[in-house]
Amino acid sequence: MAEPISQGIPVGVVLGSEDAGPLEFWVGVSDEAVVQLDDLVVAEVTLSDGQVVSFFGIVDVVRKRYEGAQFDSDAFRASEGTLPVEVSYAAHIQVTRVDPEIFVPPHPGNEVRIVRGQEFQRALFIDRMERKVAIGYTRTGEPVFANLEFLDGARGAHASISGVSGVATKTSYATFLLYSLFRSDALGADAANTRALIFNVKGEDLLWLDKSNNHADAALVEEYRKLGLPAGPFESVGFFAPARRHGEVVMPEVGSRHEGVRAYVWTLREFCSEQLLRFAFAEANDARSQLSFLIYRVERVLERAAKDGDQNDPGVSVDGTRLQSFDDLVDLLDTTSLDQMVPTAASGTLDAFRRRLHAAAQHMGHLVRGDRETARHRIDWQANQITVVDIHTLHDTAQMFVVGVLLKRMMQDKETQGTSRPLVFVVLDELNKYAPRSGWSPIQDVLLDIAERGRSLGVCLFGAQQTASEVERRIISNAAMRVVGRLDAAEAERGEYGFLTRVARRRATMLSPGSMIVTQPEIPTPVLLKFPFPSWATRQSEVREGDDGEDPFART
Amino acid sequence: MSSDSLPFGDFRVRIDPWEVDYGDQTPLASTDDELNEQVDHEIEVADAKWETITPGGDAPPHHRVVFIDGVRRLEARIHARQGEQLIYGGFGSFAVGAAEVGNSSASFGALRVFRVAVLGAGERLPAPVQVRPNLIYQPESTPNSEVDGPLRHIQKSMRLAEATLARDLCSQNTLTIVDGPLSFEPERRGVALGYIKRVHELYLPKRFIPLLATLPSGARTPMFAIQTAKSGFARYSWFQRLEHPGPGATEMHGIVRLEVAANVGLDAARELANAATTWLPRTAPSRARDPRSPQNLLPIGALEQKLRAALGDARLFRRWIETLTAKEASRG
Repeated sequence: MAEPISQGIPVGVVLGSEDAGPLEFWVGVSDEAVVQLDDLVVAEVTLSDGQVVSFFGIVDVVRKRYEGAQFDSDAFRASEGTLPVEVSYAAHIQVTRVDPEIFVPPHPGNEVRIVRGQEFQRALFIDRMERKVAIGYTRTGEPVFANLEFLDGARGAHASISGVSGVATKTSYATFLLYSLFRSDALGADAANTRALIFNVKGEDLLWLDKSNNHADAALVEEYRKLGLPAGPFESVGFFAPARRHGEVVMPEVGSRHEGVRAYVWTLREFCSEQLLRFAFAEANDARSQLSFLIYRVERVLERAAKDGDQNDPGVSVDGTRLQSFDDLVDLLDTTSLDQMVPTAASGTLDAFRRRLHAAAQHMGHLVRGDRETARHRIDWQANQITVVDIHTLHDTAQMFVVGVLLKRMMQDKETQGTSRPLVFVVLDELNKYAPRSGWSPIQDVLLDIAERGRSLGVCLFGAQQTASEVERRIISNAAMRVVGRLDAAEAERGEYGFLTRVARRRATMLSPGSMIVTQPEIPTPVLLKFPFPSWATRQSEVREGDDGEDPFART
Repeated sequence: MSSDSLPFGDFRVRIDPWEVDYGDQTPLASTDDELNEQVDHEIEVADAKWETITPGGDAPPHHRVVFIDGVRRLEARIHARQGEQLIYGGFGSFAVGAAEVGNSSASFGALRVFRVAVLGAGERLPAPVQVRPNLIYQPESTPNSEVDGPLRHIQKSMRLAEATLARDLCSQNTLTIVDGPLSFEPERRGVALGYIKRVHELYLPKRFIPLLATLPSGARTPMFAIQTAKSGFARYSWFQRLEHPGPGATEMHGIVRLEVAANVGLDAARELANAATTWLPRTAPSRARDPRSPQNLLPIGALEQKLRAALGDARLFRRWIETLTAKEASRG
């Protein structure tokens, strides 16, 4: 996709009526030229020794005003045609790169050009990225890339995506990033083994990733092509939906999509042996509380029990009582068995435990079963490149349980592997629910673990949240790539968005769907990007006809 | 003191709204009826019918109106000694330019900047003085040996440049309005108006002062002809008022005189006078905007501002000239 080096379009000169510096300067825009926000420009200075220093920068303010006019009423006079005026059109440039790094100021009167093509890539350091992944394009259509080394753990990992629900298109962007990672050659040899685990939190948007979008027209194909991507669906996707609450046969709880979606449940034995009880108590808690200790004790008892008997048997026996379902376990713990497991516990703590266990069982009990059916319905996140786990039909408690259990297991698997390859990308929306800033929960523990150790284990979290200010600080601060969609005005002023410039904060409050402001470590300023409409279906009506390969009726 | 006592006695005392530093807006040289020039005030109406004329309509006089103006300044005064002779001189700049006012649009037109190094007493520097690579003063000379001779010379040069520019821009469908009395007689292709914002000369018998004092805004006096020997051509002229004087302001406030070369013909002159009378007040600035409101019309005020900007920073130029003379002095 190499484009010829263009000389760029001269648009004006560096202003001398405002300070020009190596980090920012103003440009006076010539009469015929158009300069808009987000344009990338370059000014060049020839030093006395003949060396040429290029100042690349991004336009973050543009303004026009009458030159020398002192009165507001001048505008009326000028429009009437009685007052001749001159309009000064100027743009403020936030410098992104000084090349070579000689930090002299540009010279007032120096020509300023809008950069395109390879010069554009230089302006954003993209020419220095050895392994890069497309993350969108500017409003003028120039592709923008991220350095893969900041996503795969080599120099950093994780992306944090914030924005108001509905208009910020957080999940869409996270999905696009995944698509870009998997469908480009960015990952190279690692691509075959790299995995992604996506939690589908809202609607059934993500349940059609493997289908082409029937809205994908030639223009969209071209948009993808510019980013070096094919326009199509994801390849190798596994879909999992929670098992239905009722019925002997384990069936997925799905809405519009029926084929290709597998149901997931956990066996009671897994629940016991892997110490999953804590995830049923995932609501914000205190690690030092009596209750936590109690949960820990019960987990230990259950774990010991799970070691007995046939390991292929999904049910377990505890203290001689055969448990076939989660309700059986609840019933058991309702009895004095619990008191025996934790003899030191105060009765109030026991009551609290039982109360919460009952409440949890109501919502997630059906996801833990002990019958023969169950064993085949484990989520194998390594079987496909992309694993979509649908939790949108579940109650909060059950969502917490599923997310917590899966992430914990994934981390355990990665720990066992002990290497940072293959890579795993995890997409999780509503991080503020799973890892709130205040309080503690077992899921928060797992997420913090991913945030802090994920880099070395090859786990990259694409976390999304409405408000970064409500998410555990260490998770946000560990993200190498920070993305915001539309932000609430009050939220945009929070310290968590310190990476945004003053102007970017203001703009974040008026971003339209499909536009994001992205900050990445190598580019010193946030960049407003657009990303293409999905080339995969996001609902049944978008599925391209003839793309129903697995539809049994298609063959008749 | 009772409330209805008159502090000024019999005098009708009014204030001149112009800012003090700009001088009086009506510095009449002499109000006696002995006129230096031959004036015929009966060319439009007979003496007996001399009263204010209020034309209707408000269309601009022509498709395109071009205002011409200039600014000048002295950047440094110099003393040039040659033996026993002490010569006054100066480094100065002036600029002339045009502001075009068309149908509901106004813009700046041509702009010319001049830099001169003037010596008095008929002396002249031998070569252009290069103060900076792109700042070169052309040597000029004035026979005047007084201390203000060089400044007067610059003023005169500016007037000349204005006239040259006005003549250059004078064309079909264009009305050129120059600042001050007309110094040239336009040829057939265009029309020029002289706009005298500060009335020095009344040209009319003193008995018409009450008529001027009560002239309503948007009205004019009848035209009168000035047969002058000085500039060599005949002109038609009239007074008009741009703005009604505010309470307590002098009754001469906002009175301007305009003139047009008589070769346009009486009818065309009357048309021009009517159009100017109705249209010019619309281009008058507010008091807050201009210390010489309303006479310093908006296009002229804006043009002056632009011309001053084009002249550059006087303090900086002065410093450069200082550096140059210091270098010269150090050479002995």
